[in-house]
Amino acid sequence: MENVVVIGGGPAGLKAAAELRSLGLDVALVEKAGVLGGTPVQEKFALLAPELRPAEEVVGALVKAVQQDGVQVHLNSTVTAVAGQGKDFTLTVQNGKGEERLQAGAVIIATGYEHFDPSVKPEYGYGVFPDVITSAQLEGMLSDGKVVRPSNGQVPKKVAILQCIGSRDAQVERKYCCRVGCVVASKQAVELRQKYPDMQVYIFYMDIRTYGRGFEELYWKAQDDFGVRFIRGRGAEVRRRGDELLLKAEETLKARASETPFDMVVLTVGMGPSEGTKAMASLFGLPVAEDGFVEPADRMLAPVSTKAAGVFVAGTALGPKDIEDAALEGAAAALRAAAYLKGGK
Amino acid sequence: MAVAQSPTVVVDGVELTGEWMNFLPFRVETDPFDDALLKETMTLPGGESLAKCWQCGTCSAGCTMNPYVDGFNPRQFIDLVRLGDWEEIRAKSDQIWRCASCQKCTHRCPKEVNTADVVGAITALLERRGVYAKPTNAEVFAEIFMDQVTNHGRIEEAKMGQEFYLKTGRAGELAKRAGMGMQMMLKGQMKLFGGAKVKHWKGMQEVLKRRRAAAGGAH
Amino acid sequence: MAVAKVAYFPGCSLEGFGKSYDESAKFTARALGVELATIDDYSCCGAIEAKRADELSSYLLPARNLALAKKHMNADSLVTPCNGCHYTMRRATTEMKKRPTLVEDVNQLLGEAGEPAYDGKSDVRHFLEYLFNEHGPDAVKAKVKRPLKGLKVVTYYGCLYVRPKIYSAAGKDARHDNPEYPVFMDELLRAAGAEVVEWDGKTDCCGGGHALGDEDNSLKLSASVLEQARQAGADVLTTNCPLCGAALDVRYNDLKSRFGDSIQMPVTYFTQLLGLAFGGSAKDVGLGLQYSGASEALKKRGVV
Repeated sequence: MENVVVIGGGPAGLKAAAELRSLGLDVALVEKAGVLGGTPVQEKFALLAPELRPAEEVVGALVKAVQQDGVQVHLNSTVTAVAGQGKDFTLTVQNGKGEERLQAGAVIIATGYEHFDPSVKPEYGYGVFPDVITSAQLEGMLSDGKVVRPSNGQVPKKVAILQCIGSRDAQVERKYCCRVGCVVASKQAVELRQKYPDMQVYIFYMDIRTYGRGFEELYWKAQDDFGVRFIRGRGAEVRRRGDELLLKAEETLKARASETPFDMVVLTVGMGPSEGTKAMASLFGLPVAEDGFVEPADRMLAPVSTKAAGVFVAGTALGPKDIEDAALEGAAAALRAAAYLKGGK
Repeated sequence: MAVAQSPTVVVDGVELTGEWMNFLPFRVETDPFDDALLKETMTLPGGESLAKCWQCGTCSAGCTMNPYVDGFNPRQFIDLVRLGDWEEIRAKSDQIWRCASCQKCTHRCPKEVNTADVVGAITALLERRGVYAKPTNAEVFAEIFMDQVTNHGRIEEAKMGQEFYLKTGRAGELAKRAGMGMQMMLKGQMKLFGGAKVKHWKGMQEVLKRRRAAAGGAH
Repeated sequence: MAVAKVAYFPGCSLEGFGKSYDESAKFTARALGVELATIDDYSCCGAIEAKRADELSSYLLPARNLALAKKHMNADSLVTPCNGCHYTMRRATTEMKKRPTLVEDVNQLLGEAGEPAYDGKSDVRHFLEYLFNEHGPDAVKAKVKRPLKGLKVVTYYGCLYVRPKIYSAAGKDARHDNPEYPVFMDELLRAAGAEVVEWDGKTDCCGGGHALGDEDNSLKLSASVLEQARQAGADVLTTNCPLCGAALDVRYNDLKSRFGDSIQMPVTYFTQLLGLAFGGSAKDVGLGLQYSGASEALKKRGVV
């Protein structure tokens, strides 16, 4: 059968679907949410690092390609069962109205990631103090055009951004790096300083890892042009003192512990496998690595293939990455699926 | 100490000879890293996880003793041991032993360093290398504690206090607290005769004695 | 009512400064239909001092008690009301589960000492965690005869009940308390009618570990706890740790003479408050053994 089911309508899944269509294959796209675009749309990403380009412009284009290219889109739908193998899969798809069956010669899993829930680390006061928010929430505020303290609706004067919350942390069994937190924090800090020139913005970090093309330049920009303060020390604890939040952190270069008042604290939250990714891994019998993400057939030589014939995987289901890389993997998975259906390996 | 040497210096047209700049030290350390200190500390009980530390400062930021003891900074203690900076570690010997064992550091360490235990191991290193002129109070306390456990199987808090004051040469303070002791005896919190003893303990006593002797420390 | 029997490990402190905690824990348990059966001929857990002296001894001392509980009472878990013992013994059980050779080494020594061997499987539970999970607020509520109405309490959990989570498992599953803002005492006391006051000091350190070693700083830490409790407006502070109890309460006169009225704060054990709510007398819960004016404060609120 010359058709492919793509599971997940984020950047990786969208790109995969569009590329498969360009190769002349029939494509069905199954998306759990009611809209296409994945996490960037659902969490209202504003500008994308490093070019500060509107997310709408990028993700919107990916969505548009899928809608125009005749991909059969199933919204509010999840795959609940799979039968068959080789080039003849039957997927059971559940939606609000009931069940339906989809036939597929190959499957691409692009079910993405989920942000870390910082209430698991109560020392940061998330869920206790309203002015402690996640980077995703800040992104939503930036998208809506107004950044205010949830406690009183006022624009904060002094903001701390804490890096690696739920990343690189053995205490919560997340030893890996989220890869995008450093550039996202730099970007958000630049946006805050652009929008509110009187606001003081501090980023508390362990290491700055701006590996992607253009990432380092944005990090420089934050320092050179926007006066963002980078403090080398991991935030340890947030308490409340009257109307303010009190952040305990060590400025390690000075070897001094400090208690600094802030009126908003932003937690740059890490990425973990989404519920969908975990469910699909178990449904298709795919191995997951120690970090919880899907393990491909060979990280270097077959990075979007899996041990199951006809099942491919792309995007953040394979581990944390930015939109650029996720879309790239979507395209790679489309190519692999097409080659597989044409009788290649 | 590294020095800069200049064989000749010309003053008012007259050339003088000699090592004129011997008195000016370089401000740059030469070959400052020494693995020996790290290796030694990691062999001491509790020191095993030291090398995992990546210096994020979570421990020091939340540390109970940091606000009370100037320079008490677990992250920096680890850093200095790892650099092999014995002089700096020695200079902090009166701070390091003051860890209150509140475990906030170990609790939160993202690398699962057992920070509290590591600080204990650094203290043990200082003791072992004979830095303290006399045993620290913490060391005396530990010894009395382990003596009671070894001999009786259980400890008796009030008696431990008495012994501690006597062993640290503070009989005066003990006398001051005698009133308190009376009060406690009347309340029945301090036993008058004998103490808590475990009945079947002889074998354990032998084993503990042997283990402690083999460990070789003052305790 | 069927009486459940629990292998109880009081620890040395409950035979010393923590006697009132021991008495009130037993009273409270009895009221809930539980017998705290002390492990026969139990010995010291080794505290943090054993590991200073010799690493293996710090596993040997807990293992002896766990093996006794298993042998004499067929108990796979023991319950201790002491935060210090809780830490030491959970550290030992965790490490021994992780490193099976430790169990072998320990058993070698236990054998030489003529003690029963340890199977490496036991669980160590804090009495507070046990009460909360096995009985819980509803069971407490059902037994209340004299509600702690109008009594403002701050709950003080200290260090070693939740820390470090690699041993305490705090926050790792539903059985264990929140690792930074524990609540089990709060909920039990609320069920007994008390008004639990929010404050920041719940898991601060009382400095008890250095009561002798570094007395000056130790007293300052205790004073800070009491001061915060006072500023929160509590009638009494209540704790689940005999070492905190000793630091805050037994040293009360020292603290008072040094820091004055700013630290005036009666100290109690949570089991004393529960015991009183269950209809116990001041004597039943050892209230006379407190130094910091607990009886007076409780009388003022009509709890005694």
